[in-house]
Amino acid sequence: MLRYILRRIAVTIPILLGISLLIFVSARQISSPEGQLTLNPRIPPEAKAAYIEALGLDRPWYEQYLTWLGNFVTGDFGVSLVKNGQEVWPIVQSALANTLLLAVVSIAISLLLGVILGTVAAVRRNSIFDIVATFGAFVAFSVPVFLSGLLLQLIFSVQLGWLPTAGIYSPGQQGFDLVDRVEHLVLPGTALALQLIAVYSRFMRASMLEVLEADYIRTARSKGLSELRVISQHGVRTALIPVVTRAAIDIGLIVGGLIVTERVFQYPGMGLLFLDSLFAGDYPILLAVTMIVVLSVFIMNLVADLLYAVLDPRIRFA
Amino acid sequence: MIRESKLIRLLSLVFAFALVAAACGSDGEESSDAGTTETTAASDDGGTETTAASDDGGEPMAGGEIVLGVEQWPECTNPVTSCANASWTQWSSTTHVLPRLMELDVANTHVASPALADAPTVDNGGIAANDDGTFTLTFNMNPDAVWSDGNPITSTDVKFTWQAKVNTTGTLQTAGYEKIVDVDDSDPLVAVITFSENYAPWPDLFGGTTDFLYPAASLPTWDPADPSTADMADIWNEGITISGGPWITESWTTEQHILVPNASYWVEDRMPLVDRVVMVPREDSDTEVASLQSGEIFAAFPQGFPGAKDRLVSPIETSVGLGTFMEGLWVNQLAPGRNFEITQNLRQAVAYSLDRQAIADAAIGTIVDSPTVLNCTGWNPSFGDWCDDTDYAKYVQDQAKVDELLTADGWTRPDANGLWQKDGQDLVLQWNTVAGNLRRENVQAVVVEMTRPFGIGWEIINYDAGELFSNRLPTLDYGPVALFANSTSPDPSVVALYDIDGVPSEENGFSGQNNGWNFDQNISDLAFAIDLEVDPVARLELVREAGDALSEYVPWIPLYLLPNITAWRGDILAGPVGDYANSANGGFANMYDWSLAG
Amino acid sequence: MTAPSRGSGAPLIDAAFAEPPSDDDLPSLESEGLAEKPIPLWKLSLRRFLRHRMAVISVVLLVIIVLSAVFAGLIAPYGETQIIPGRVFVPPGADHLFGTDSIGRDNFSRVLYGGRISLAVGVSVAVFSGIIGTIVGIVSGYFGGRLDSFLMRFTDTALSLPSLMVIIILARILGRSVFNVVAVLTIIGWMPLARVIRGQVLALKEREFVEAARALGVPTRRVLSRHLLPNLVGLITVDISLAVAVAIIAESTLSFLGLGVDAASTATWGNMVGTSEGFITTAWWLVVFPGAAIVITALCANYVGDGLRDAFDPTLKS
Repeated sequence: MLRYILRRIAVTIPILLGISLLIFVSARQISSPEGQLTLNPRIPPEAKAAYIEALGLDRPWYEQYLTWLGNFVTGDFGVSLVKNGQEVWPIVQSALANTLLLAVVSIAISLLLGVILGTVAAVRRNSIFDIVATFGAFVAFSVPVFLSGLLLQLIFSVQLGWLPTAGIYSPGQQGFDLVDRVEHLVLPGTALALQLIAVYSRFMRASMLEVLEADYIRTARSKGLSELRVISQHGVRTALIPVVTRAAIDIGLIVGGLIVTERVFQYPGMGLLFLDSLFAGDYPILLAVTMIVVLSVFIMNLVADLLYAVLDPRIRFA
Repeated sequence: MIRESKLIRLLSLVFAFALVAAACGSDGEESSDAGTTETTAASDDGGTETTAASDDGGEPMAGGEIVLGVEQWPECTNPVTSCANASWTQWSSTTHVLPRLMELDVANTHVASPALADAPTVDNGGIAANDDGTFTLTFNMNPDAVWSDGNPITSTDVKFTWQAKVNTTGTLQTAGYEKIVDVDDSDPLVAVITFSENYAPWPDLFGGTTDFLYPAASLPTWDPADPSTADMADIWNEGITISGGPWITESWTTEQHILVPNASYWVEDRMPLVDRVVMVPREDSDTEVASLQSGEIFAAFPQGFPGAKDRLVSPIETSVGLGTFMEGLWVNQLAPGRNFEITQNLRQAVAYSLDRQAIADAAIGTIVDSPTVLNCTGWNPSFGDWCDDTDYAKYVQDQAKVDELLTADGWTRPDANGLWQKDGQDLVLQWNTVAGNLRRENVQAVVVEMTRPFGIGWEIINYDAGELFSNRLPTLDYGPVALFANSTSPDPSVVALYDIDGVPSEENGFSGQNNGWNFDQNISDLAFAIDLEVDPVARLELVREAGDALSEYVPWIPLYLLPNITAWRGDILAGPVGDYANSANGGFANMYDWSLAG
Repeated sequence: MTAPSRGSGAPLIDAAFAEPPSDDDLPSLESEGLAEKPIPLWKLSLRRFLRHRMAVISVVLLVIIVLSAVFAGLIAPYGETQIIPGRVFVPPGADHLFGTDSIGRDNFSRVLYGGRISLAVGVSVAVFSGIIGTIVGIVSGYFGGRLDSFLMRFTDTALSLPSLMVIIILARILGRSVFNVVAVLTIIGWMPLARVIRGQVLALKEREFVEAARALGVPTRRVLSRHLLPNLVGLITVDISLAVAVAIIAESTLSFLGLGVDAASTATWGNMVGTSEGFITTAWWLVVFPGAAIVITALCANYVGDGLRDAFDPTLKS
């Protein structure tokens, strides 16, 4: 197992390097710190030149890349361009924590509901329940997230006043407050969960249908076990494997994928930070955000593989 | 299994209930709307137009906490560096905590701030053009003025501010400060500032529209003899820790800014009424409006957005300012994408093809009741009398003029319904603005239809704000035409805009803010003369002359002022909340006078 | 263990669901009895498709939507960019079926014209992705070797990244136009299909009729066109149909983020909703009609895809 992990990591390193190069080139392409400086008419050219030199912007791009890469690998994420010298890491760190919280909570709830819906839909295939659940899932796939988010906000915040519209804490709140924090999680979490439940329920349904056809289920049935036991003890367990591994992968993906949800609810996570730094041309933050997203994707993919092996006795790593 | 279906049924019931409740909620709102009588009053001095539901907010009550939405959260709060470039850094932070020498009153006129004993004038000897060509300003400090740490605000702070403005790494604004040769702080209560030559926009130094005074004590390492030690780049990036204003920052993060009253503040009638102000980011205007509607924030100061009139309704009250930003068509004569020269004739012809009233209606007609066309080039007609708002009044739609101007320029129009042509090129102008900005995209849509009969076509390519403002404008890589807003300052200094040597180029490292708008020597000279003329009457004459020259030259086509809106919950907030809607200091400038409605 | 639900059915947006389908996730054609062909395959498929009621309804709806967009010039009472003076924010009524917008354009006409672009974007992305994905998949699967491992490693990596993040960066680099939106979405869109096709080709290569053809010295081109391609048609059509839904939603999401097609010159459903979401409480018709157009079209495309999957892959339904 350890050898497998090490080998996976070894294989991943060149890929990560390639991606980092692409990201670096793209980030430099779409943000121009020189432009930010020139926007300000009053900075004298000498000061500008000194600033550009201090940032290393006058050196060839591959040198800039290698410097950045070296710093990144050693944990030095640099300083923000537009936030006047603030360290990048604390900014990214808090965004990462916020997004992970949202992702994990949302995925956990979606997984629970998705598995239940999917199982019922599979067991009662072609029933009204199945048809409605399928329809619901398809609608969830077909509604752009910014629309569903907007509607949630409109109904539950503006009209009903039940939940806050945006942010992670009520204004004036200092320090941690569980109730307040949770209240601010509900709407963005629901916007995300609507989609995830649809995915997981479809996944579970299909997985379950396949399991129900399997020989050992037929054997279990023929042994006279009750249908409920067959399904809960033999069916669900096996059918869960791909769904759970899928959810693990999602955690990694969602770290960078909540762009629209976070934008609608002004949730200060990785997606919002990505958008802000992209539009502000703050490439040190943009680079850090994208690289951390890529890393989390790879880590969670690895976790998913290991999870698969742990859950499915038929798979062993050579 | 049955349990699960029950759960689903329960969930859908809850959802249905929510929907019904939502529908009812909106009904209730409408009916309450009909019940209130609305009064529209235009106040003369502030240029604001207040629409307020009947004033039944109740007696103001002291204490409590108010929550405000900030449309653009400052990246950092340092008042010297590029962080200060965002208006919102000033509006949400600096204005409330730092003192100034001269300040703007509610009508955006320069007056002595509470830090001064009086304003310098020629008569009191405060303003003096010397025989050797130098220029001296003498400021008498107010002996009562103190920082929140108890130290008095003195001429040494003025000296420090000057050095910090010039020497801070990445300083934003050095214009004017560079002309200062010395600040004499031998008398702590008298600051004598000597300039190398006349400098008319002096009220905007150490105060005025964008500047402030900084305490010398904020940098313990400062050595007056070594100006390079006055580098403030590393302090106050996450909140200004000291105060010389009505408020002091208790904490500042990327998620909220908490201000509390500054107990040391010496100005009786500006002592804050509430105990705490919390500012939170609401950077998306839809979220901002939603938060106002839900009562999470009590007030906001949004840039006018389409539909504002309909969307900001009771219990939200609004005060709409004429605006501090001029929106117009900025013409880049050096546009890389041009297929022909962007001559004066062509620029005038475009101006003659536009029905600017119709454009103003489309752009801000859903924000203000009667949109006004802007006829000034460099000066906001609501700030002083620098512009009499007639410069561009001659540009109304005129087919004959367009024909005449373009024909004289060598253009032909073979097909009377088609586009003008010259050397095989159609008269099509590339036009950029901020993508996804409905107001601006509406203007584009209206103009494209409008100029079609005049034979002028457009190729629309829009960029996001960062791309347009950070990458393209500063390097003249846009246009020939771009639509955006430029801020106006109460002082008529326009050197930066029209300095012919300030055209960004490879050679000067793209410095300068004359982003391709003026290549006329006469206008450039006039702009400089305006800055050197310290006599207001003579200065006004120069400004008027420049205005006429600009309207002939047409470096850009002014369209309208961008309305500012102070929007607040009339049922939660009391006091003169909307008074500063048209202030260059932002709509929250007088929040010391705000209180919670009882 | 298979992962039965194909990821391309999920929207690209937000949670970036476009997971790489595993290679063994294939509509199996075994049960078809390809050798005998008592009834033509397409007839069987058609029959099965017609049994999927929602899919049939969806086809009808889609035809109506497509026709009304194609014949917008005949149906629309006003021009796409025509401004009717004094008719700002007119609610839906006899004069203006879907109301008017903030500068007095007829919303009904704009929804019709906007449909042209949105549908064109959706269909182009789906078709281009389909073509590229098919070619790459066949080349990769049939010829194998280094090219294959490179392509698969590449798509594997690219697909593991949050697609919205990649799309946003690409859109930001390329700039905004109908063509660029299609290009950006196609760049991402072809990969899932390529992987599925490759897997299927690998399986088909081992089948007797292909092996026989190759042994007999039938030219490669003929093997590909006569023996492989016909067996991939089902897969490709399912994918294209689902991709239309994904692309239409992605286009609207890009517009929402200000990275889509310019609203000033060209109406699309996406930018109509994206620029007027704020009017939902005051001029709901500006959000609801184009929004409904997106949701209904995406929903129909998803159902058609589902129907086609049933038609070509009967294993999940008896």
